[in-house]
Amino acid sequence: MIHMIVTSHGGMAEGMMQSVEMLLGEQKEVECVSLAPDMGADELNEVFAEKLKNVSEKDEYLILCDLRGGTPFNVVSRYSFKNEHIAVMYGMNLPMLIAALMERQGEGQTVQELAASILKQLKETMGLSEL
Amino acid sequence: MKVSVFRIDDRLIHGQVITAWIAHADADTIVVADDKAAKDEFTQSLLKMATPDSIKLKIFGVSDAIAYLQSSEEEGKALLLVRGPEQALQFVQAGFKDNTINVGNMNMKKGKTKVLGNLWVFPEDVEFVKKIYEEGVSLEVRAVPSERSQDVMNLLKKNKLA
Repeated sequence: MIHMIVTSHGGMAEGMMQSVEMLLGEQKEVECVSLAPDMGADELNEVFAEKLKNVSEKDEYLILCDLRGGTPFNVVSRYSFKNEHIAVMYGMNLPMLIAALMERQGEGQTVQELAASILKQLKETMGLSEL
Repeated sequence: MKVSVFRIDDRLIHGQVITAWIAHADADTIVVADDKAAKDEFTQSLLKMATPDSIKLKIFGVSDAIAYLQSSEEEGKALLLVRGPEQALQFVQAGFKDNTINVGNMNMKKGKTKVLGNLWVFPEDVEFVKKIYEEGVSLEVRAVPSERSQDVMNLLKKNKLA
């Protein structure tokens, strides 16, 4: 089973889930974690320590972050460092989240395979319209 | 190399630094002066990952960073990051007195007293801050460049901590 967590500075994570549910319907098995303005990295770390305490081959995690090098990214990277059962992606946008939800399958798929598959699709999701 | 922004931030490189302060500092290099980072493989990987590709990153222990900045003949400006006032004082005592030291984040920890949401102090932090002022250097709290600057000593006095 691949679990998903969406994390951001402020309310972007919740907002993205609200948007995605307009497109894909209600989503279970996705959690949101927000860094509030008055929150420290240590407090955010406590939230993730609790959420990521049972990581294993059977319970892998895909974590989508808003910004490479931002505090949510920095905090979760401690958990993905040298742990193949946690994949962290950054620069999240709505197409990335949709791809993650659509491509996530049941048995037999590793989180690294899922992340690689999402990554392939990202180039097409941003650009200057030619219309 | 000239230090254009000297910042205390216990998160070191993070969102506020990469989105706002690098541009404000007009810096092409980030110097992280931190004994822990200088020894820890994970922290170094993370700092590298957090740094935009167009910016050079140097990670040293505090005394090596002082030596590097004193002897570097490279052109350009640096954003200097330290974790707390203790490390900042080491720089000040080594002669780095041209900058008002920016305080970005000294976050909540057990045993600290709250001054502002992003400024929490241990009693020893107050002592380090006082010594920095005694050297003729002041500190200002400002998380992002566009925010109002607040003098740290005034804030400590207002909260009866100094």
